[in-house]
Amino acid sequence: MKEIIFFEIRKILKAKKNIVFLACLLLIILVIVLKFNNYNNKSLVLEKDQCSSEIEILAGDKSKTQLMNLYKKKLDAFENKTWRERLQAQIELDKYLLENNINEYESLDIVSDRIQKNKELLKDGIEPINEYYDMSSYNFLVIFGKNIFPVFFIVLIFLISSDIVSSERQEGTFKFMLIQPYSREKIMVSKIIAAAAITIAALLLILLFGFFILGAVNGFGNPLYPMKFYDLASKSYKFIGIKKFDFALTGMNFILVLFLTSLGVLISNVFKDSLSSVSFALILDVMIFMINIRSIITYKLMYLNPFSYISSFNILSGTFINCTSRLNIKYFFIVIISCTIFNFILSIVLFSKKDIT
Amino acid sequence: MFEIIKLELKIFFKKKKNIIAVLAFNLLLILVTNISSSLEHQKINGELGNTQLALESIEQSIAPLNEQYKETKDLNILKISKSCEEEKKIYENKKQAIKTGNTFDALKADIQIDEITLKGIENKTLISGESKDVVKDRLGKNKYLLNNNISPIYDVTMSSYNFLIAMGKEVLPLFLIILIFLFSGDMISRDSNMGTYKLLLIQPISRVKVLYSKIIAAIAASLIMVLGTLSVFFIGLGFIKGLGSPNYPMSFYDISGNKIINIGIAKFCIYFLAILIFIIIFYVSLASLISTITNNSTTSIGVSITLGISIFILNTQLKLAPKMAHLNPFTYMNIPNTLNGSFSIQFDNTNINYKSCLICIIIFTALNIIITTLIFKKRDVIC
Repeated sequence: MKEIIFFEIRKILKAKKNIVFLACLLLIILVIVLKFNNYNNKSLVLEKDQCSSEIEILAGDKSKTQLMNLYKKKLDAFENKTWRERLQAQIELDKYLLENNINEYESLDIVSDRIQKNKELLKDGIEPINEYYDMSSYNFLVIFGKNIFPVFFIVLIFLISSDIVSSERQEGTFKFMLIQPYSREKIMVSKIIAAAAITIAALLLILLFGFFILGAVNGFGNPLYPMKFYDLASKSYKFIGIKKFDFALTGMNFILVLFLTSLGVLISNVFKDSLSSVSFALILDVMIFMINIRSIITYKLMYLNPFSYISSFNILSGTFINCTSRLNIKYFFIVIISCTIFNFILSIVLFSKKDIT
Repeated sequence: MFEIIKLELKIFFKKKKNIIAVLAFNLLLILVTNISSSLEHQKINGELGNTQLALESIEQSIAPLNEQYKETKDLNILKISKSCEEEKKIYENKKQAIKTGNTFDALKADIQIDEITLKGIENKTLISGESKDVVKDRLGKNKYLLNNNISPIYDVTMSSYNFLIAMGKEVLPLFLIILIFLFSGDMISRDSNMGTYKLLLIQPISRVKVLYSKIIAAIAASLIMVLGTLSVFFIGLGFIKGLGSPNYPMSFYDISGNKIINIGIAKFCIYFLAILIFIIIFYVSLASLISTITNNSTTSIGVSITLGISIFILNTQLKLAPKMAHLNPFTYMNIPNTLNGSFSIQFDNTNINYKSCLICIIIFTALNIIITTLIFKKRDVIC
């Protein structure tokens, strides 16, 4: 069986489409890292400019003098003071926005979250980072889990796994494969293991390379940086260190890789030609990307849909808890693991009953 | 040449992947339409809830004001109390109008509320969560709707005209490129893959004619499938939800005046469909180029779709090179946002408009076809 697994791994690694996409993926990650780094470097200057223009707008408005003073205090902290005073000024400004219901630029939920986080940062003495763009190692893992995995990495998983059986039929190697001295079940299991091993290895390598290279260039970041996390036991939002958050996020992504690989293998068993199976898998990916969030906020039963858990970042930070309270870590494990097992079993059954002609 | 076009069209409609793609497109439109309808109900309920909250807040402030007046006999307090009573009446009318589905009465109430807000902002007696310009714009639009007897709609309202705009914003920017690449990404590689390439070339017509026949067939099939599907939904929703007013005002970036004006939604849809046709032709030309470069259909489709998703994300989310964005044909993937000037504002580039969209797309389409022709002509027959 070991031999078939290695043989399958070699076949996957030699497929041109997999190599082309892996190269594309690495290129995309590089572009994202460079662009985000650029945004991050500019973000403080932009925030300062925004502050100055707010002061200009508010200058002639007597009813908003207090708000203008708070912006002035923030600008002063940007120019002359430490990050602690900058945070303090931001907290005071946000409190005013919240108390007076001013939601012209941001929703009040965002403002409220920012107050909590800034208080946490001040309490622990941790310098703030721009969580959206900062490319220090720990935050890279968060950005990968939030922006790159749910969009790009799924395509790689589907491209690798969705023609693993159908390509054998198309290339006419199906019969040769079955005359090997192994049972059909063993062949299928070997294919599944090979596909899962490749996708997991790809994820691991990207994360490790990204983590250490960015660590050397931008620094690793503070492992205790607070991240918003939905605590199931107390049914409330809490803050945990970014290191712990990354462990949980990456662990969940590995489970998602297994689920998506199992789905790709199942699709490749259903279709007779690889073009149809790859097309179907990719369309599915695009559809998930397009309607996932909208369906989660619309339908209450979406916690039963495994694709609702495709962004482990949203599950960990409890983004959709207000829409569907069951969209949490507990149901992530229940739904994703049961769907993965179901897909694998169904793939083995379909493969063992497949017509040899 | 006509025979090859007919043959290619036959092959197109028999391919399983094309049938899967069309079914997926229909399913996606059904899902998005359904979700949008649910969101519309949620929005109406949300508005009812907000009106109720505003009403309660006004009611709570009236009683203390009246007591304060009794104690102080201050005429200013009486004035504030009376204006609160007036606002209360307006909110009560709005609540009733939303409950009974009388959109025009709700619109009248909205206009009255915005007039009070605007007056408050101008007199500096009110700290508003919204800026003066936002309130002014909404007021102008609502007055226009009321004067012209046009029912207001949400961005998720699925009446026929608005369906086209909503799909142009939400579904087509990403799905159209995937759909067309799936349809045509194996246009040339299919023959290399299936070994029919040699048979095709021994036909008594030139290589260029073979290539152009394939491209014409792919364009025709793609146009039929995309426009056909949109038409079916347009008519179907027309029966279920109504067409909507053709004069509903839509923001439109007017190049001659270099400003944003309002045009009727029907006219906006005509511009939208015209650009959509050019974009479909452009995507087919790009797919034919990729298909000519790669020999294997699965690789070709994989590369095309990867390219589609990457371009979409890099272009819309990361906004690479905003100053040069008008020269990039993929900037125009979201047609309604190109027409209404949103992209021009987002990219801070006034050259992003329908005129440069058409010029850019036509140039890139011609370029793709020329390169494809050159590669196809010099292609080795052994492959």
